[in-house]
Amino acid sequence: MTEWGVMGPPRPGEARRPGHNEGMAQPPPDSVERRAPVRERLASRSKGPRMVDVARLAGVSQQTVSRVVRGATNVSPEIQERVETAISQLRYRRNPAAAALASNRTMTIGVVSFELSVLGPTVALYGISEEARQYGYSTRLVTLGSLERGAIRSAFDSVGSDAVDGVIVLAPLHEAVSVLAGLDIDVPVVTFEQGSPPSPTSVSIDEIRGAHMAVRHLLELGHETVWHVEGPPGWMATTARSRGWAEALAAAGRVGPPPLPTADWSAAEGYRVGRELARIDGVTAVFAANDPFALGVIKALDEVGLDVPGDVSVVGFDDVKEAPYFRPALTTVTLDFEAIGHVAVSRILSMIQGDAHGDIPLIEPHLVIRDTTAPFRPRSASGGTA
Amino acid sequence: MVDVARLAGVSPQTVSRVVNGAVNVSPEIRTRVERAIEQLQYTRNAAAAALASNRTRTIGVVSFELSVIGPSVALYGISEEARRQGYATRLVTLDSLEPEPVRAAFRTIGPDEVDGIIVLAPLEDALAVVADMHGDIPVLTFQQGSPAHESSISIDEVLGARMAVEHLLSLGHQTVWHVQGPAGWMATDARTRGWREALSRAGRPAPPLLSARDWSPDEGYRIGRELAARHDVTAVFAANDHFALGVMKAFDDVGRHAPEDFSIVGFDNLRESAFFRPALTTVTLDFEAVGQVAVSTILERIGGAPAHLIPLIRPELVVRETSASPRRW
Repeated sequence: MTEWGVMGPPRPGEARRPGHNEGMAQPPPDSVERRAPVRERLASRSKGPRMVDVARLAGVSQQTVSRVVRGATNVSPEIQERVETAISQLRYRRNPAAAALASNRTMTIGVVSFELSVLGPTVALYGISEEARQYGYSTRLVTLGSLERGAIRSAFDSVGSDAVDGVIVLAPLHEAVSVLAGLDIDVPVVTFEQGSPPSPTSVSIDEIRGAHMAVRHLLELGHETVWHVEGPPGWMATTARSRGWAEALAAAGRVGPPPLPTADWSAAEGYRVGRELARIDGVTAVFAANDPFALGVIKALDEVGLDVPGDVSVVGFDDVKEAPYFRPALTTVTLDFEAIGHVAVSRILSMIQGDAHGDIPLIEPHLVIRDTTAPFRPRSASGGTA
Repeated sequence: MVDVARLAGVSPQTVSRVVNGAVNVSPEIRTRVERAIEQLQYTRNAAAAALASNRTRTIGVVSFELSVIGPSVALYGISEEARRQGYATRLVTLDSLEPEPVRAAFRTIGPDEVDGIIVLAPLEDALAVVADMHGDIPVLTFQQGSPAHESSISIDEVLGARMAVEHLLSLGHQTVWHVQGPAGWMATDARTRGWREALSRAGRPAPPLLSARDWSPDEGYRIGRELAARHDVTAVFAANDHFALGVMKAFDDVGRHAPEDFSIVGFDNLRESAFFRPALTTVTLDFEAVGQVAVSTILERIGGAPAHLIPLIRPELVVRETSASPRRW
């Protein structure tokens, strides 16, 4: 039977050996079930050199090999070297399940996420899985069906605190973060947040500052005030971007118009709100809480003959890959969600090793000025291009 | 385990034998070990637990380039459907398609820690390696443009590409140029094949292919500049919506606009494509359905259901504003 062995395929010149793994019971000679019990499959699987072979070559006991492999300190340097030479000569690799049994490390990072269809968490997940892989970790993913306390508790149970060495929570929603704070979890947890102050256990982008940048840019162009297409309720991103917008207006002594709420993060919602904006007199500047909203707003304005940026300036948020190719190219704020993933993994690995220190610095956003913003020009009463 | 052994007065090997359900342990010893385990509330870690039961309630996913739309949306579909079925998803991304890294990814995912594996790497090289591996848990692959098979889920992208090209020909265009995806992806071959088939069925010559190096809008823009420089281009079939966006921008730069000056059809139907200016004519691929079908099928197989052909997922043409009859010169 060929299978993707835990030890990998036999290398040229290597004989296949009957299976044996440390601490595992020997299987019956032939397991014919379609799906034999895991321990049997595992035991029948090893094709590479076994620990007993390393022990024999090094002239030590298997327990000693095991101690060296686990990095135990009570082994003399000579013995250690002998074992290591034997390991490299035989190209012995440990069975991960056996290794996990021995070290209590699962080499797995749990990820609890909500709504993977939203850009930020998806890109962050990509960053996490890439970074984790480089450290030999795999990623165990559980998505939340709801933000109820019970659902979050059971997500943690299903991620399994004894199946993972740490958990990254990619659910930047107020409710999730507050439920989480009340849970008793016995592995390190790092949360992805948006607009939170720096902390030792959360990775956050300074989105309040990003929103400031967007609004200040519009005010500097001479716009009297800035309208805001706000994200859906419950998301930390919504609060952070809305707060940055309100603060920047207040700091400039401007009156903030009421924010325009949305039901989800889609371009369709941006378009719906854009149609409302198109009917309001005196709208010359819009800060949209994400790039798809901006796309929808521009489409809606265009349909009633309002030109962007001639009549109305629009700034997005996220800087999606397509933003430079929108018509016109979108002025927006770059958020590096992939960096979130990298930072989260490196923090969780230091927490697992017990050497994490200090707050995680906030990730800084950047304003990218393209073609959807222009100096203020009064709109004609008819609403069309002046 | 050492503590359990000490309390029970046996060796760690004996504890291990009991935990693993071995038969060569006397009943008295077994009781002693079990009592010690209970007293110490010794919980074996997942690896140990997986060793003892055959269900992990976890589905493994091997992916490459999660930044590409198809696999990333399919992963969303997988994770949602898995959750609804009470399963977790174990994810490993590939950084290379060489045989050894692909096998290593399978080892990382741990065939003992998952009940089945879904391979979200629709690339020829990855699938060639996977095809050579024979495991004893179900493996399903996500493919693009392959015939229906019992262990792969595929969207009929050859058909989708034909629909796009036939739509443009039916509008009166003499031929259709193709912005081709990057080499190695099944999607690239399937879409190119559909384009070529539709042209040859209509007896039209196929113009030279223009190949992108990745799936980004930047590549669409780069190739769009080449196309915009030619005056004989009236219709373009772009292998994805991002390319179409870049191509339109490049034509815009030289004052040529869709659909008056040229027609373009994308592929994917992103949620944003209806809001492009003009709204993009494209082909809908339901990648979320791919994820759902993958999970429900793999759960059937895990449950021991016999294998059957998995029907192809059908694409759909969505006609919006970027395609029209060519202007009469």
